Amino acid sequence: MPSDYLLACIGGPLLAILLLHGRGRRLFVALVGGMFAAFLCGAISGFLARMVQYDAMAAVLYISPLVEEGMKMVLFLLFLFVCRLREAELPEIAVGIGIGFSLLESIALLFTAGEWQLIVLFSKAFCSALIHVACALMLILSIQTIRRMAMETVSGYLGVYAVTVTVHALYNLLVSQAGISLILGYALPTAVIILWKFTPRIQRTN
Amino acid sequence: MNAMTILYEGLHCLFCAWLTYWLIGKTIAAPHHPMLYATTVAVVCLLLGDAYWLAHLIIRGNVPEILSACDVAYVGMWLIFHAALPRPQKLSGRQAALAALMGVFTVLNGVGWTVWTQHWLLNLIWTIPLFLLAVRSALLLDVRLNSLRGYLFLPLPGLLLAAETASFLWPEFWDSLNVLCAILWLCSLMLFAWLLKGKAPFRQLPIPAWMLLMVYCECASLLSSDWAYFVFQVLLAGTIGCFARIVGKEGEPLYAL
Amino acid sequence: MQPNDALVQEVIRRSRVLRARQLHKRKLLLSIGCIALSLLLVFLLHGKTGMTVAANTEFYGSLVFEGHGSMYIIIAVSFFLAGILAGLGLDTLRSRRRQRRILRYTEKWMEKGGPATPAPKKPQNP
Repeated sequence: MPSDYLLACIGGPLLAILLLHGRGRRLFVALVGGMFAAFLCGAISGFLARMVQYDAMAAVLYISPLVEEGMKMVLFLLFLFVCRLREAELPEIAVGIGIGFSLLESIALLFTAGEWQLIVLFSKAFCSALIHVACALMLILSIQTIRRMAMETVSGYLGVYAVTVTVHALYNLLVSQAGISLILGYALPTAVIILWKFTPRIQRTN
Repeated sequence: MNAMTILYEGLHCLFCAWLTYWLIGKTIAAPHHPMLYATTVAVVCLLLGDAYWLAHLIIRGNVPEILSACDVAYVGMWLIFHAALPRPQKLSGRQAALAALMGVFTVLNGVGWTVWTQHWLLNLIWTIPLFLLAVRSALLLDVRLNSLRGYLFLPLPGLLLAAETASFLWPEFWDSLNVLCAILWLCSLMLFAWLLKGKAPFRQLPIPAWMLLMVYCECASLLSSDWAYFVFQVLLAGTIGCFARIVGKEGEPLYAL
Repeated sequence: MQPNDALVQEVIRRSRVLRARQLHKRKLLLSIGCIALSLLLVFLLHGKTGMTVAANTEFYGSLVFEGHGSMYIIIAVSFFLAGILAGLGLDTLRSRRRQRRILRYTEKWMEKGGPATPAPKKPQNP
């Protein structure tokens, strides 16, 4: 099936954007943005893989993290600088972008799944959501902190990008092998999200 | 990839993990210190890079491809350090001289890596952050190059350049030239540290001086091979550890900048 | 006209309204731009791309497409990014020009006597 057909899934969220206002609309715009960005990342990763003559597995390990985190960062900075969102609104955008990304990946997974058990498909889709949301939350936490610490320069943003790329690449590497590395891979984004939940509590105690 | 390399990478990873844990504790206790926060993030980058390298070695059985996530992580570390340094307010002749020296030094190292490895893109990506960090750190220091310490140090980069060029041009003398280069790197590093500290005690070395020492160690390790590479990597890890300890102890350091 | 609390609050309220309008305009322009560009791309790329999802049946960490036509996507994304930068640049130039005009007007007003100057009268209806 042609990959362009994946974009047909944007219809539902687009309707939600038209009907909702305020926070709900913002969340769905982030979701649609995430889905669209995931589509673009697939094409860009495929192009770069053909250019350096990597197969799909090598592309997923070495190219996709760079491209996907870059697109997420561009999308996020678009929301931040063009829409001038307040800090309290940023986590919703991050979660929306992450879920949008993982939604399109999960739909694409169904294209190529073949004969798989439902529980396996569900766990793969859920873990894909975990890593994308974890990376998006890490992105906004880092950007919020570099803004507060007066490190808001090109180097600061590129440093944040480097952290999210490495975490994503580490996840892709760990889940590529069954066994303990798969479990560690799935635990990595879980740990990041738990840390995210604890961060406000840590800041409040100070 | 032999057992020694895996053992070294494992120990390096453990050291970075311990340092990360210690720094995170310090950052939670004193959350409003940009340099402490930046050092923590930089060490996290180092840990992530090491973890990826080890994971790749264990899972895939070989080292990562050129321009992998570990390169991104290590370059990210240098970028975070660069972002944490303030812009220089005033510019004197001494600062400009040191900045020019460090700029040329870093670029020549980049050229050396490119000639050696034949990978221009990866080495360009490595050279740019190191160049920016070296120049900005030098612009924040007040070091007299026209002093006795400066006159003792300055010929050494020239000798290094000659020795490294000779090792490229005459690879049949690689073993002895490798030893000579390692000795020259070590002597120049010690003299550089002596030059940067000036008359003050070593523990009062300002933060930009620590950054310059880190850049110097990294350049030395990237142009070395075999045992010399591990020696300079250990020195780099030690420099990062000392720097982190100073930043962690003082919060906002008194002697910096 | 002596500044008082009510006047200051009114100025702040009006500036907030103006700012909200400016942001709303910006978001609308961006949304219309994105939709127009997407429709144009769909029209231009119709029949030119033939990509399918690369099969990675062992695990799923990322999405990679195989096939032809991905260079058009690269060109479109590059133009989009360049467009964002150009738009932000134009917006910055426009706001800087506006600030300079406001500053010139304020300086002229202060030279004429500032708060002592009587407020301009509204034109009377015939």
